[in-house]
Amino acid sequence: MFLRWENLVTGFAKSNPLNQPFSGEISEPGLYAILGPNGCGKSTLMRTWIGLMNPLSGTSQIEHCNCKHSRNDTPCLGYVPQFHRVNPHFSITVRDLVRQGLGRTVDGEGLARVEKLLLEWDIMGDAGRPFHELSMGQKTRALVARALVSQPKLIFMDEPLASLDAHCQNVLINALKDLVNRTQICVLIIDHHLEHHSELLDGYFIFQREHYLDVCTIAFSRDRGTPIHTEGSDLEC
Amino acid sequence: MLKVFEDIFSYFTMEFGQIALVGTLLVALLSGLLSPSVVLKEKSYVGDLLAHYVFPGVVAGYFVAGFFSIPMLPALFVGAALSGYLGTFVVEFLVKSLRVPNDAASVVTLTGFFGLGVVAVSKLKGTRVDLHAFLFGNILALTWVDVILLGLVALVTACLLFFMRSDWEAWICDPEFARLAGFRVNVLERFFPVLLTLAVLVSLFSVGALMVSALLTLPAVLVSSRRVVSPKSILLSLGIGVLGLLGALAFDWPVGSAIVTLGLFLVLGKAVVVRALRCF
Repeated sequence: MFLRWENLVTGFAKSNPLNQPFSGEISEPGLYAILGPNGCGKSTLMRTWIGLMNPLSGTSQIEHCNCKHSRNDTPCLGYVPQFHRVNPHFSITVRDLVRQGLGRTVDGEGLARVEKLLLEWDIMGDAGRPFHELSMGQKTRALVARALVSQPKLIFMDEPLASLDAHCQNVLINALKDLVNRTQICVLIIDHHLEHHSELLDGYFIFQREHYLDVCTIAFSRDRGTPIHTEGSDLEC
Repeated sequence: MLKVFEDIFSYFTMEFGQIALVGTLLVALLSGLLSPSVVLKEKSYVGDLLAHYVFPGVVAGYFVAGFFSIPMLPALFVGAALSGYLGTFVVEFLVKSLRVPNDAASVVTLTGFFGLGVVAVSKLKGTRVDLHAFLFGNILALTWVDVILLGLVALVTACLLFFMRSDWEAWICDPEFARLAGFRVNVLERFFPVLLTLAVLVSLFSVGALMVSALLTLPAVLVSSRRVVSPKSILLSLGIGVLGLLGALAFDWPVGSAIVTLGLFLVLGKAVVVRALRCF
Protein backbone atom coordinates (compact mmCIF):
# COMPACT_ATOMS: atom_id res chain seq x y z
CA MET A 1 0.00 0.00 0.00
CA PHE A 2 1.35 3.42 -0.97
CA LEU A 3 -1.61 5.65 -0.26
CA ARG A 4 -5.03 4.99 1.27
CA TRP A 5 -7.94 7.33 1.82
CA GLU A 6 -11.37 6.77 3.32
CA ASN A 7 -14.52 8.82 2.79
CA LEU A 8 -12.30 11.72 1.85
CA VAL A 9 -13.92 15.09 1.12
CA THR A 10 -11.63 17.98 0.18
CA GLY A 11 -12.20 21.70 -0.11
CA PHE A 12 -11.72 25.02 1.65
CA ALA A 13 -15.09 25.34 3.42
CA LYS A 14 -17.53 22.75 4.74
CA SER A 15 -20.33 24.53 2.87
CA ASN A 16 -18.52 24.10 -0.44
CA PRO A 17 -16.93 20.66 -0.71
CA LEU A 18 -15.04 19.96 -3.93
CA ASN A 19 -15.90 16.29 -4.19
CA GLN A 20 -18.26 13.61 -2.93
CA PRO A 21 -16.86 11.35 -0.21
CA PHE A 22 -14.73 8.68 -1.81
CA SER A 23 -12.37 5.99 -0.66
CA GLY A 24 -9.55 4.21 -2.33
CA GLU A 25 -5.99 3.08 -2.22
CA ILE A 26 -2.96 2.86 -4.44
CA SER A 27 -1.26 -0.40 -3.73
CA GLU A 28 1.12 -1.00 -6.62
CA PRO A 29 4.00 1.06 -7.97
CA GLY A 30 3.22 2.96 -11.14
CA LEU A 31 2.70 6.24 -12.93
CA TYR A 32 -0.73 7.67 -12.11
CA ALA A 33 -2.48 10.86 -13.14
CA ILE A 34 -5.21 13.06 -11.72
CA LEU A 35 -6.86 14.76 -14.68
CA GLY A 36 -9.57 17.36 -15.07
CA PRO A 37 -10.40 20.98 -15.87
CA ASN A 38 -9.27 24.02 -13.87
CA GLY A 39 -10.92 24.63 -10.52
CA CYS A 40 -12.34 21.16 -9.98
CA GLY A 41 -10.11 20.35 -7.04
CA LYS A 42 -7.20 18.34 -8.43
CA SER A 43 -4.55 20.36 -6.58
CA THR A 44 -6.70 20.47 -3.45
CA LEU A 45 -6.95 16.67 -3.45
CA MET A 46 -3.18 16.38 -3.85
CA ARG A 47 -2.50 18.95 -1.13
CA THR A 48 -4.88 17.08 1.18
CA TRP A 49 -3.14 13.79 0.47
CA ILE A 50 0.28 15.19 1.30
CA GLY A 51 -0.92 16.98 4.45
CA LEU A 52 -0.60 20.62 3.36
CA MET A 53 -4.38 20.93 3.85
CA ASN A 54 -6.78 19.24 6.24
CA PRO A 55 -9.60 17.17 4.73
CA LEU A 56 -13.15 18.45 5.29
CA SER A 57 -13.96 14.91 6.40
CA GLY A 58 -12.49 11.45 6.06
CA THR A 59 -8.87 10.39 6.35
CA SER A 60 -5.86 9.79 4.16
CA GLN A 61 -2.75 7.91 5.06
CA ILE A 62 0.62 7.58 3.36
CA GLU A 63 2.54 4.37 3.97
CA HIS A 64 5.18 4.58 6.72
CA CYS A 65 4.37 8.23 7.19
CA ASN A 66 2.68 9.01 10.46
CA CYS A 67 3.76 12.60 10.40
CA LYS A 68 1.11 15.15 9.66
CA HIS A 69 3.53 17.74 8.38
CA SER A 70 6.49 15.42 8.14
CA ARG A 71 8.15 16.50 11.34
CA ASN A 72 10.53 13.56 11.30
CA ASP A 73 13.93 14.06 9.81
CA THR A 74 13.70 12.15 6.56
CA PRO A 75 11.03 13.34 4.18
CA CYS A 76 8.73 10.38 3.50
CA LEU A 77 7.21 11.74 0.32
CA GLY A 78 8.48 13.66 -2.65
CA TYR A 79 6.73 16.79 -3.84
CA VAL A 80 7.31 18.61 -7.11
CA PRO A 81 5.46 21.95 -7.02
CA GLN A 82 5.02 24.21 -10.02
CA PHE A 83 8.29 26.06 -10.40
CA HIS A 84 6.78 29.49 -9.80
CA ARG A 85 6.38 28.35 -6.20
CA VAL A 86 10.15 28.81 -5.79
CA ASN A 87 10.65 32.40 -4.60
CA PRO A 88 11.99 34.30 -7.65
CA HIS A 89 13.75 36.88 -5.45
CA PHE A 90 15.76 34.26 -3.62
CA SER A 91 18.98 33.33 -5.34
CA ILE A 92 19.74 29.65 -4.91
CA THR A 93 22.01 27.45 -6.99
CA VAL A 94 20.62 24.29 -8.52
CA ARG A 95 22.87 22.17 -6.29
CA ASP A 96 21.67 23.92 -3.09
CA LEU A 97 18.06 23.59 -4.24
CA VAL A 98 18.43 19.84 -4.75
CA ARG A 99 20.16 19.57 -1.36
CA GLN A 100 17.06 21.01 0.30
CA GLY A 101 15.39 17.71 -0.53
CA LEU A 102 17.55 16.08 2.14
CA GLY A 103 15.72 18.01 4.83
CA ARG A 104 17.66 18.83 7.98
CA THR A 105 19.79 15.69 8.03
CA VAL A 106 22.63 16.30 5.62
CA ASP A 107 25.19 13.47 5.57
CA GLY A 108 27.84 12.24 3.15
CA GLU A 109 25.56 9.61 1.71
CA GLY A 110 22.84 12.17 1.06
CA LEU A 111 25.27 14.57 -0.60
CA ALA A 112 26.51 11.75 -2.84
CA ARG A 113 22.90 11.09 -3.85
CA VAL A 114 22.54 14.80 -4.74
CA GLU A 115 25.51 14.56 -7.15
CA LYS A 116 24.18 11.32 -8.64
CA LEU A 117 20.74 12.82 -9.26
CA LEU A 118 22.27 15.96 -10.79
CA LEU A 119 23.99 13.68 -13.29
CA GLU A 120 20.99 11.41 -13.85
CA TRP A 121 18.62 14.29 -14.55
CA ASP A 122 21.13 16.04 -16.80
CA ILE A 123 21.58 19.23 -14.76
CA MET A 124 25.15 18.65 -13.54
CA GLY A 125 26.43 21.26 -16.01
CA ASP A 126 24.12 23.86 -14.44
CA ALA A 127 24.59 22.81 -10.82
CA GLY A 128 26.36 26.06 -9.90
CA ARG A 129 23.92 28.34 -11.75
CA PRO A 130 21.04 30.17 -10.06
CA PHE A 131 17.83 28.15 -10.36
CA HIS A 132 15.92 31.04 -11.92
CA GLU A 133 18.31 31.29 -14.87
CA LEU A 134 17.43 27.78 -16.05
CA SER A 135 15.06 26.92 -18.88
CA MET A 136 11.59 25.57 -18.01
CA GLY A 137 12.64 22.00 -18.74
CA GLN A 138 15.78 22.29 -16.61
CA LYS A 139 13.80 23.84 -13.75
CA THR A 140 11.34 20.97 -13.78
CA ARG A 141 14.19 18.44 -13.79
CA ALA A 142 15.87 20.22 -10.87
CA LEU A 143 12.63 20.09 -8.87
CA VAL A 144 12.21 16.40 -9.68
CA ALA A 145 15.78 15.75 -8.51
CA ARG A 146 15.03 17.67 -5.29
CA ALA A 147 11.98 15.47 -4.68
CA LEU A 148 13.90 12.25 -5.37
CA VAL A 149 16.91 12.93 -3.19
CA SER A 150 15.25 11.68 0.00
CA GLN A 151 14.43 8.39 -1.78
CA PRO A 152 10.68 8.60 -1.20
CA LYS A 153 8.38 5.76 -2.25
CA LEU A 154 5.65 8.15 -3.28
CA ILE A 155 6.06 11.29 -5.39
CA PHE A 156 3.42 13.94 -6.06
CA MET A 157 3.83 16.31 -9.02
CA ASP A 158 1.72 19.44 -9.52
CA GLU A 159 1.32 20.10 -13.27
CA PRO A 160 4.93 19.34 -14.17
CA LEU A 161 4.11 19.47 -17.88
CA ALA A 162 2.33 22.85 -17.81
CA SER A 163 5.11 25.02 -19.23
CA LEU A 164 6.95 22.44 -21.28
CA ASP A 165 6.89 22.05 -25.06
CA ALA A 166 5.85 18.73 -26.62
CA HIS A 167 9.42 17.47 -26.84
CA CYS A 168 10.25 18.27 -23.20
CA GLN A 169 6.94 16.74 -22.10
CA ASN A 170 7.85 13.49 -23.86
CA VAL A 171 11.32 13.45 -22.37
CA LEU A 172 9.97 14.03 -18.84
CA ILE A 173 7.13 11.49 -19.03
CA ASN A 174 9.44 8.84 -20.44
CA ALA A 175 12.04 9.57 -17.77
CA LEU A 176 9.37 9.25 -15.06
CA LYS A 177 8.09 5.97 -16.52
CA ASP A 178 11.66 4.71 -16.61
CA LEU A 179 12.14 5.78 -12.99
CA VAL A 180 8.99 3.94 -11.90
CA ASN A 181 10.08 0.77 -13.70
CA ARG A 182 13.59 0.91 -12.24
CA THR A 183 12.84 1.81 -8.65
CA GLN A 184 9.27 0.49 -8.20
CA ILE A 185 8.00 3.75 -6.73
CA CYS A 186 4.69 5.46 -7.21
CA VAL A 187 4.41 8.78 -9.07
CA LEU A 188 1.18 10.82 -9.09
CA ILE A 189 0.87 13.62 -11.65
CA ILE A 190 -1.74 16.38 -11.83
CA ASP A 191 -2.56 17.62 -15.32
CA HIS A 192 -5.39 18.92 -17.48
CA HIS A 193 -5.00 16.27 -20.09
CA LEU A 194 -2.51 13.56 -20.80
CA GLU A 195 -4.07 11.99 -23.90
CA HIS A 196 -0.75 11.91 -25.67
CA HIS A 197 0.82 9.91 -22.91
CA SER A 198 -2.08 7.75 -21.75
CA GLU A 199 -0.34 4.59 -22.93
CA LEU A 200 2.41 5.22 -20.36
CA LEU A 201 0.03 5.67 -17.42
CA ASP A 202 -0.86 2.85 -15.08
CA GLY A 203 -4.12 4.53 -14.09
CA TYR A 204 -5.81 7.87 -13.80
CA PHE A 205 -8.63 9.71 -12.04
CA ILE A 206 -10.73 12.12 -14.03
CA PHE A 207 -12.53 14.95 -12.28
CA GLN A 208 -15.83 15.70 -13.97
CA ARG A 209 -18.17 18.55 -13.43
CA GLU A 210 -21.59 18.33 -14.98
CA HIS A 211 -22.88 21.73 -13.96
CA TYR A 212 -20.58 24.54 -13.10
CA LEU A 213 -21.41 24.72 -9.41
CA ASP A 214 -21.91 21.01 -8.88
CA VAL A 215 -19.67 19.01 -6.65
CA CYS A 216 -17.24 17.07 -8.80
CA THR A 217 -17.65 13.42 -9.39
CA ILE A 218 -14.49 11.48 -9.84
CA ALA A 219 -14.41 8.95 -12.61
CA PHE A 220 -11.71 6.42 -12.52
CA SER A 221 -10.16 4.44 -15.31
CA ARG A 222 -9.38 0.83 -14.61
CA ASP A 223 -9.31 -0.32 -18.23
CA ARG A 224 -5.63 -1.15 -18.05
CA GLY A 225 -6.07 -3.49 -15.11
CA THR A 226 -4.76 -0.83 -12.84
CA PRO A 227 -4.18 -1.58 -9.18
CA ILE A 228 -5.96 1.56 -7.88
CA HIS A 229 -9.24 0.72 -6.17
CA THR A 230 -11.80 3.34 -5.35
CA GLU A 231 -15.32 3.32 -4.06
CA GLY A 232 -17.77 6.12 -3.41
CA SER A 233 -21.39 7.04 -3.87
CA ASP A 234 -21.00 9.01 -7.08
CA LEU A 235 -18.06 7.30 -8.69
CA GLU A 236 -18.35 6.06 -12.18
CA CYS A 237 -16.06 3.11 -11.81
CA MET B 1 33.73 73.16 9.09
CA LEU B 2 36.17 72.13 11.81
CA LYS B 3 33.78 73.67 14.30
CA VAL B 4 30.99 71.29 13.15
CA PHE B 5 33.27 68.28 13.72
CA GLU B 6 34.20 69.56 17.14
CA ASP B 7 30.52 70.00 18.02
CA ILE B 8 29.68 66.47 16.87
CA PHE B 9 32.63 65.03 18.76
CA SER B 10 31.55 66.84 21.90
CA TYR B 11 28.14 65.10 21.65
CA PHE B 12 29.81 61.72 22.05
CA THR B 13 31.59 62.78 25.22
CA MET B 14 28.18 63.17 26.83
CA GLU B 15 26.06 60.21 27.95
CA PHE B 16 23.03 60.95 25.74
CA GLY B 17 25.34 61.13 22.73
CA GLN B 18 26.87 57.76 23.60
CA ILE B 19 23.42 56.22 24.06
CA ALA B 20 22.36 57.71 20.72
CA LEU B 21 25.40 56.22 18.98
CA VAL B 22 24.97 52.73 20.50
CA GLY B 23 21.21 52.91 19.86
CA THR B 24 21.73 53.84 16.21
CA LEU B 25 24.27 51.06 15.74
CA LEU B 26 21.90 48.50 17.26
CA VAL B 27 18.91 49.68 15.18
CA ALA B 28 21.14 49.49 12.10
CA LEU B 29 22.40 46.02 13.07
CA LEU B 30 18.84 44.77 13.63
CA SER B 31 17.71 46.20 10.28
CA GLY B 32 20.70 44.73 8.50
CA LEU B 33 19.98 41.30 9.98
CA LEU B 34 16.24 41.27 9.29
CA SER B 35 15.98 43.22 6.07
CA PRO B 36 16.97 40.43 3.63
CA SER B 37 14.20 38.21 5.06
CA VAL B 38 11.72 41.09 5.09
CA VAL B 39 12.44 41.91 1.45
CA LEU B 40 12.70 38.32 0.19
CA LYS B 41 9.50 37.35 2.00
CA GLU B 42 7.79 40.43 0.47
CA LYS B 43 6.91 41.81 3.91
CA SER B 44 8.36 45.31 3.38
CA TYR B 45 5.04 47.02 3.96
CA VAL B 46 4.35 45.03 7.13
CA GLY B 47 6.78 47.14 9.15
CA ASP B 48 4.91 50.26 8.12
CA LEU B 49 1.54 48.72 8.97
CA LEU B 50 2.75 47.50 12.37
CA ALA B 51 4.28 50.87 13.21
CA HIS B 52 0.86 52.48 12.72
CA TYR B 53 -1.19 49.72 14.35
CA VAL B 54 0.76 50.09 17.60
CA PHE B 55 0.01 53.82 18.01
CA PRO B 56 -3.32 53.53 19.91
CA GLY B 57 -1.65 50.85 22.06
CA VAL B 58 1.20 53.23 22.90
CA VAL B 59 -1.29 55.95 23.90
CA ALA B 60 -3.29 53.44 25.96
CA GLY B 61 -0.03 52.26 27.57
CA TYR B 62 0.85 55.83 28.62
CA PHE B 63 -2.64 56.31 30.00
CA VAL B 64 -2.75 53.01 31.90
CA ALA B 65 0.77 53.47 33.28
CA GLY B 66 -0.12 56.95 34.53
CA PHE B 67 -3.50 55.93 35.91
CA PHE B 68 -2.41 52.82 37.82
CA SER B 69 1.14 54.10 38.48
CA ILE B 70 2.86 51.07 36.95
CA PRO B 71 6.23 51.30 35.16
CA MET B 72 5.94 53.12 31.84
CA LEU B 73 8.06 50.88 29.57
CA PRO B 74 6.29 47.53 30.14
CA ALA B 75 2.90 49.25 29.85
CA LEU B 76 3.94 50.81 26.53
CA PHE B 77 5.27 47.51 25.23
CA VAL B 78 2.23 45.47 26.21
CA GLY B 79 -0.12 48.12 24.83
CA ALA B 80 1.79 48.37 21.57
CA ALA B 81 2.07 44.60 21.12
CA LEU B 82 -1.64 44.05 21.82
CA SER B 83 -2.60 46.86 19.50
CA GLY B 84 -0.26 45.49 16.78
CA TYR B 85 -1.81 42.04 17.00
CA LEU B 86 -5.31 43.48 17.08
CA GLY B 87 -4.54 45.40 13.87
CA THR B 88 -3.24 42.27 12.13
CA PHE B 89 -6.31 40.37 13.33
CA VAL B 90 -8.73 43.06 12.11
CA VAL B 91 -7.14 42.99 8.63
CA GLU B 92 -7.48 39.22 8.45
CA PHE B 93 -11.08 39.44 9.67
CA LEU B 94 -11.95 42.06 7.00
CA VAL B 95 -10.26 40.09 4.23
CA LYS B 96 -12.05 36.87 5.15
CA SER B 97 -15.51 38.28 5.84
CA LEU B 98 -15.78 40.95 3.14
CA ARG B 99 -13.46 39.27 0.60
CA VAL B 100 -11.68 42.56 -0.11
CA PRO B 101 -8.02 42.64 -1.18
CA ASN B 102 -5.45 42.56 1.60
CA ASP B 103 -3.96 45.99 0.80
CA ALA B 104 -7.37 47.67 0.92
CA ALA B 105 -8.20 46.11 4.29
CA SER B 106 -4.72 47.06 5.54
CA VAL B 107 -5.06 50.72 4.55
CA VAL B 108 -8.50 51.01 6.16
CA THR B 109 -7.19 49.45 9.38
CA LEU B 110 -3.91 51.40 9.36
CA THR B 111 -5.57 54.78 9.01
CA GLY B 112 -8.36 53.86 11.41
CA PHE B 113 -5.96 52.70 14.12
CA PHE B 114 -3.72 55.71 13.67
CA GLY B 115 -6.74 58.02 13.70
CA LEU B 116 -7.92 56.43 16.94
CA GLY B 117 -4.50 57.11 18.44
CA VAL B 118 -4.54 60.76 17.33
CA VAL B 119 -8.07 61.28 18.69
CA ALA B 120 -7.01 59.70 21.97
CA VAL B 121 -3.93 61.94 22.21
CA SER B 122 -6.03 65.05 21.58
CA LYS B 123 -8.46 64.08 24.36
CA LEU B 124 -6.03 62.72 26.95
CA LYS B 125 -4.06 65.87 27.60
CA GLY B 126 -2.46 64.47 30.74
CA THR B 127 -0.75 61.56 28.96
CA ARG B 128 1.96 63.73 27.38
CA VAL B 129 2.35 61.50 24.32
CA ASP B 130 4.48 63.39 21.83
CA LEU B 131 3.00 62.70 18.39
CA HIS B 132 6.03 64.24 16.71
CA ALA B 133 8.39 61.97 18.65
CA PHE B 134 6.24 58.93 17.78
CA LEU B 135 6.35 59.75 14.06
CA PHE B 136 9.96 60.84 13.74
CA GLY B 137 11.61 59.35 16.80
CA ASN B 138 13.90 61.03 19.24
CA ILE B 139 17.15 59.18 19.48
CA LEU B 140 18.63 61.72 21.86
CA ALA B 141 15.93 60.84 24.42
CA LEU B 142 16.81 57.13 24.50
CA THR B 143 17.78 55.55 27.82
CA TRP B 144 20.11 52.64 28.55
CA VAL B 145 17.01 50.46 29.14
CA ASP B 146 15.90 51.12 25.53
CA VAL B 147 19.38 50.27 24.34
CA ILE B 148 19.43 47.00 26.31
CA LEU B 149 16.05 46.04 24.82
CA LEU B 150 17.37 46.82 21.34
CA GLY B 151 20.44 44.71 22.05
CA LEU B 152 18.34 41.77 23.25
CA VAL B 153 16.12 41.78 20.18
CA ALA B 154 19.18 42.05 17.92
CA LEU B 155 20.79 39.13 19.76
CA VAL B 156 17.70 36.90 19.49
CA THR B 157 17.41 37.76 15.78
CA ALA B 158 21.08 36.98 15.16
CA CYS B 159 20.82 33.65 17.02
CA LEU B 160 17.69 32.58 15.12
CA LEU B 161 19.32 33.53 11.82
CA PHE B 162 22.63 31.81 12.42
CA PHE B 163 21.44 28.64 14.18
CA MET B 164 18.44 28.04 11.91
CA ARG B 165 19.96 29.29 8.69
CA SER B 166 19.05 26.26 6.55
CA ASP B 167 15.47 26.41 7.84
CA TRP B 168 15.22 30.13 6.97
CA GLU B 169 16.62 29.52 3.51
CA ALA B 170 14.29 26.61 2.77
CA TRP B 171 11.33 28.56 4.16
CA ILE B 172 12.03 31.64 2.08
CA CYS B 173 12.82 29.60 -1.03
CA ASP B 174 9.72 27.37 -1.06
CA PRO B 175 7.72 27.21 2.20
CA GLU B 176 5.47 24.30 1.25
CA PHE B 177 8.30 22.07 0.14
CA ALA B 178 10.30 23.10 3.21
CA ARG B 179 7.41 21.99 5.42
CA LEU B 180 7.17 18.63 3.69
CA ALA B 181 10.94 18.17 3.79
CA GLY B 182 10.95 18.50 7.58
CA PHE B 183 12.41 22.00 7.98
CA ARG B 184 11.19 23.91 11.05
CA VAL B 185 8.76 26.04 9.08
CA ASN B 186 6.18 26.22 11.86
CA VAL B 187 8.70 27.77 14.24
CA LEU B 188 9.66 30.43 11.69
CA GLU B 189 6.08 31.19 10.68
CA ARG B 190 5.24 31.72 14.33
CA PHE B 191 8.39 33.66 15.27
CA PHE B 192 8.99 35.83 12.22
CA PRO B 193 5.93 38.08 12.83
CA VAL B 194 6.83 38.26 16.54
CA LEU B 195 10.40 39.17 15.68
CA LEU B 196 9.21 41.78 13.19
CA THR B 197 6.83 43.28 15.77
CA LEU B 198 9.59 43.38 18.39
CA ALA B 199 12.00 44.98 15.92
CA VAL B 200 9.43 47.63 15.05
CA LEU B 201 8.64 48.28 18.72
CA VAL B 202 12.21 48.64 19.93
CA SER B 203 13.18 50.80 16.95
CA LEU B 204 10.04 52.93 17.15
CA PHE B 205 11.16 55.28 19.90
CA SER B 206 14.58 55.90 18.41
CA VAL B 207 13.78 56.44 14.72
CA GLY B 208 10.01 56.89 14.67
CA ALA B 209 7.04 55.12 13.13
CA LEU B 210 7.49 56.56 9.66
CA MET B 211 11.10 55.42 9.33
CA VAL B 212 10.97 51.93 10.83
CA SER B 213 9.73 50.17 7.72
CA ALA B 214 12.25 52.00 5.53
CA LEU B 215 15.09 50.90 7.78
CA LEU B 216 13.89 47.28 7.65
CA THR B 217 13.88 47.42 3.85
CA LEU B 218 16.69 49.72 2.74
CA PRO B 219 19.80 47.59 3.43
CA ALA B 220 18.59 44.58 1.45
CA VAL B 221 17.33 46.74 -1.42
CA LEU B 222 20.60 48.61 -1.56
CA VAL B 223 22.82 45.53 -1.80
CA SER B 224 20.19 43.57 -3.82
CA SER B 225 20.55 40.89 -1.19
CA ARG B 226 19.39 37.48 -2.33
CA ARG B 227 20.56 35.48 0.69
CA VAL B 228 19.02 35.24 4.12
CA VAL B 229 22.15 36.32 5.98
CA SER B 230 23.96 39.07 4.15
CA PRO B 231 27.11 40.52 5.74
CA LYS B 232 27.10 43.26 3.09
CA SER B 233 23.60 44.31 4.10
CA ILE B 234 24.61 44.41 7.79
CA LEU B 235 27.75 46.47 7.13
CA LEU B 236 25.92 48.82 4.83
CA SER B 237 23.13 49.27 7.35
CA LEU B 238 25.67 50.14 10.05
CA GLY B 239 27.38 52.59 7.68
CA ILE B 240 24.15 54.36 6.75
CA GLY B 241 23.12 54.44 10.40
CA VAL B 242 26.32 56.16 11.51
CA LEU B 243 26.33 58.57 8.56
CA GLY B 244 22.68 59.40 9.23
CA LEU B 245 23.40 60.08 12.90
CA LEU B 246 26.39 62.30 12.07
CA GLY B 247 24.34 64.16 9.46
CA ALA B 248 21.50 64.61 11.91
CA LEU B 249 23.82 65.97 14.61
CA ALA B 250 25.62 68.26 12.15
CA PHE B 251 22.49 69.73 10.57
CA ASP B 252 20.06 69.24 13.45
CA TRP B 253 17.75 66.88 11.49
CA PRO B 254 15.66 64.09 13.03
CA VAL B 255 17.95 61.02 12.94
CA GLY B 256 15.50 58.55 11.37
CA SER B 257 14.60 60.98 8.61
CA ALA B 258 18.28 61.71 7.93
CA ILE B 259 19.01 57.98 7.64
CA VAL B 260 16.17 57.18 5.24
CA THR B 261 16.80 60.26 3.11
CA LEU B 262 20.42 59.20 2.74
CA GLY B 263 19.16 55.67 1.97
CA LEU B 264 16.82 56.86 -0.79
CA PHE B 265 19.60 58.85 -2.49
CA LEU B 266 21.92 55.85 -2.31
CA VAL B 267 19.25 53.53 -3.78
CA LEU B 268 18.51 56.06 -6.54
CA GLY B 269 22.24 56.44 -7.23
CA LYS B 270 22.61 52.70 -7.49
CA ALA B 271 19.59 52.45 -9.82
CA VAL B 272 21.04 55.13 -12.11
CA VAL B 273 24.42 53.36 -12.23
CA VAL B 274 22.78 49.99 -12.93
CA ARG B 275 20.70 51.50 -15.77
CA ALA B 276 23.74 53.24 -17.21
CA LEU B 277 25.81 50.06 -17.12
CA ARG B 278 22.98 48.18 -18.87
CA CYS B 279 22.96 50.74 -21.68
CA PHE B 280 26.68 50.53 -22.43
